[in-house]
Amino acid sequence: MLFNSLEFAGFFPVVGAIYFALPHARRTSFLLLASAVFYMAFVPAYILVLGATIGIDYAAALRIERARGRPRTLWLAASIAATCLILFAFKYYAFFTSTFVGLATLVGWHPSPPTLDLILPVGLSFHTFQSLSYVIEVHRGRQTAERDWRVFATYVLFFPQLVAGPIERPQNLLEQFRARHEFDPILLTSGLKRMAWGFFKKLVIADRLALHVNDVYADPSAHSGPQLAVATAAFAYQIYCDFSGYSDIAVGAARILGFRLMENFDAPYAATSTGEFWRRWHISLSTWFRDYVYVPLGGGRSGPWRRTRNLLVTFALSGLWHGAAWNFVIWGLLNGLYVSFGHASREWRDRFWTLAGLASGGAPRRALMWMTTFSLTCLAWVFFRASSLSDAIEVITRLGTGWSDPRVTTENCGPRQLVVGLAAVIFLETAQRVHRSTPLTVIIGRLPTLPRWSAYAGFIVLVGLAGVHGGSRFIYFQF
Amino acid sequence: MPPPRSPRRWALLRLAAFALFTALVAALVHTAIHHGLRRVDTGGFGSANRIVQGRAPADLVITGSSRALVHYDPRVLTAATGLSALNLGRNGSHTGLQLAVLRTHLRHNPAPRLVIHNLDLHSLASPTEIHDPGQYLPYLDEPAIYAEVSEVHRSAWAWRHVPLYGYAVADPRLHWLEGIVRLAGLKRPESLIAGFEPRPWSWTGEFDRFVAKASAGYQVARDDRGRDQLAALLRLCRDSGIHVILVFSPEYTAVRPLQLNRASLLAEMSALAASAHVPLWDFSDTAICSDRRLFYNSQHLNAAGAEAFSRELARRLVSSGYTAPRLTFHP
Repeated sequence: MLFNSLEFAGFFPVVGAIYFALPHARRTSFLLLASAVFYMAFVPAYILVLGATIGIDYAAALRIERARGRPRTLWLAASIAATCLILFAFKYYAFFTSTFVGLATLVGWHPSPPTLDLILPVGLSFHTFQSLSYVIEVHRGRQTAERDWRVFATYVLFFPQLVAGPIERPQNLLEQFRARHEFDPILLTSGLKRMAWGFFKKLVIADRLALHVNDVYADPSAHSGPQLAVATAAFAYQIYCDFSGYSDIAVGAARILGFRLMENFDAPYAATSTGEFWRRWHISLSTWFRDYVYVPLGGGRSGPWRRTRNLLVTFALSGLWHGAAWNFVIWGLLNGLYVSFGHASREWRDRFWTLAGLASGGAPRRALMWMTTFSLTCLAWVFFRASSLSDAIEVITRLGTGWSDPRVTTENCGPRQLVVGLAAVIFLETAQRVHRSTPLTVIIGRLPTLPRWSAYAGFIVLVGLAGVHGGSRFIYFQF
Repeated sequence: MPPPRSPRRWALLRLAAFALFTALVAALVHTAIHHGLRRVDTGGFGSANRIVQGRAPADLVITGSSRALVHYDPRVLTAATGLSALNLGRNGSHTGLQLAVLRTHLRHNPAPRLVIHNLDLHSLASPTEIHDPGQYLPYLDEPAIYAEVSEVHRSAWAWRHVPLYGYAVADPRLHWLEGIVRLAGLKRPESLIAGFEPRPWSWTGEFDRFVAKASAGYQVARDDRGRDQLAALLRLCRDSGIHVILVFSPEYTAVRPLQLNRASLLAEMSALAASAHVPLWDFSDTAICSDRRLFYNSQHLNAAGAEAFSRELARRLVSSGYTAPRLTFHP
């Protein structure tokens, strides 16, 4: 069930109403049922895949908690292996076998491994990682194993964040299923506002810009440098607004029910270094990889070379998490290189800024750093968005061509759509900037009722009119 | 009013009041957009507004899809024949909608003496979707337009009656902005000449890419409803006392081998024309068709091509006796 569907518009109010009408003791079971219904609206059979993950990690956590010494670690390893095996079968089997066949062909061997032909269950990587974080935290002794299977199952299945995160940690979310949540009108209005902001990002920005991006990236060879440049920058905002829009809706919906989910984004394109970008982008996944991959590998503690290696491994895995294709791995490695180079070049850069007379910072230095960060991020996005590695290379090699014709529009995205998309992006960035000092809702909340209601109603009408209502999926659902 | 004791009830009441308020704002904005679009006097909306306001009388009316819109220059036709001419071509429209536009024209304006209906290979097909439905939204109170739009889209009643719904879901090209701009007193420069849209474009390469992907050719769809709609258009003209000429305007020569059922479709159109005693002039085999400089893609002439074709058509109209001094045509 998509957030941007009529089904969800009916589902969520009904679930909310029943949830608050039920006695506290029955609410978790009801949320579990509602979450299962929500998930089964995609492909009903895949609830069994999710059930297997839940069963494995629920049982493993109880064993891990009881065991001591080596068996404790063995139980963790078994749990991780079993959970990842499911992920591997559905998401990576075809990728690894085709890579293996490709390599084998190079040495004259032509193996024909069996094909599984499985469709990737929606959001499999998300709930797998959420479930893994639980067993790891239990192993580390920072989380007690959950005895009530319904509570644990609801933790993995909780519908607002089931298919695209935020990837929650048990310390934040698990206990909230035990807490008593009373209906709170303040949370209701605050949650609805957050959801409306998410819909603005998804429908007005992401889906509008997608018209241009899809036209251009469907056939990069047919488009000029200006079109490719605009489409790539547009994709940067498309993917940000698509994913952070989803997160806003998830956070808002959970808030209405009385749950507090972690923030997943913090104005990432305001970053002035790639390291800062990754502290602001998909925070729940970045911190997951930091805590469970980068730090256990040694992090930055053992010298610059080890740090570089650890960063590259972590980012390559992050790329692979996104998609079972080499362009995702390259996207991850490229970002790993950016961050590694950022660490390694700190002294040289400081010397450069001193020579340029910008040692003390200031607007020109920030602007240059911002432009560099945004450009590097966009360059990496090319690999993420392109349908194949050869398409990505085509985009990059064509970026410098055709600048004598400044036309940037495409068949499905004319000047009106581009102007609306650009205006919406400017509005978004301005709102995010203002929000850092005083949240917009606080500013509008100070107004008398009529102008306040007019502002909110006007915003809803704007989302309705300027949005694209084709019921398009969220990009991250495929992961 | 003191708040009720239950905070839940109070919150729900406020929410309901806000929903009502939002619906009111939506209705106001809908009305503003609708009136703005109906006041536009340039471009496609300007052309449509003149039709529904009864300010589009013409002796010669051209109907069809985008190929009609960009191929027929009324100035050239008028200069040659002495007949005032108007182009009613609509981008991406199918025969049913072309018929609806003609019906709407006849409802508000005096009947023309001659209708030139442009054909293409899709003229015998009825689609499952309307291309760019936003261009018809301000005219859903026109019976013919509403009937055809609602035939294709079941939710057309909601587009018409639920405030903003149509502009939200059926106007991805954001035509509604034009209504707001017009209400603000701004005008776009005129892009059409008596409904004709000259496109001074060079060859886009779109066709070459298409050929690379579909070198084996393709079947063009046809169905009985599409055929009936073309027959209905001919009947409407006959019943209204209007002469009709079916014209297959130029297509780029290289596309023809790819259209696998071209011959059978043309034969069906010829048979239809013959049974209605209507001439069918096929220009898809003229010298223009092999000159790529006159096209911007395989189906559409550019401005230079439109001028060349309009002159050729005008010559044939004159030689066939379709001229103003002879108010009763005897071709």
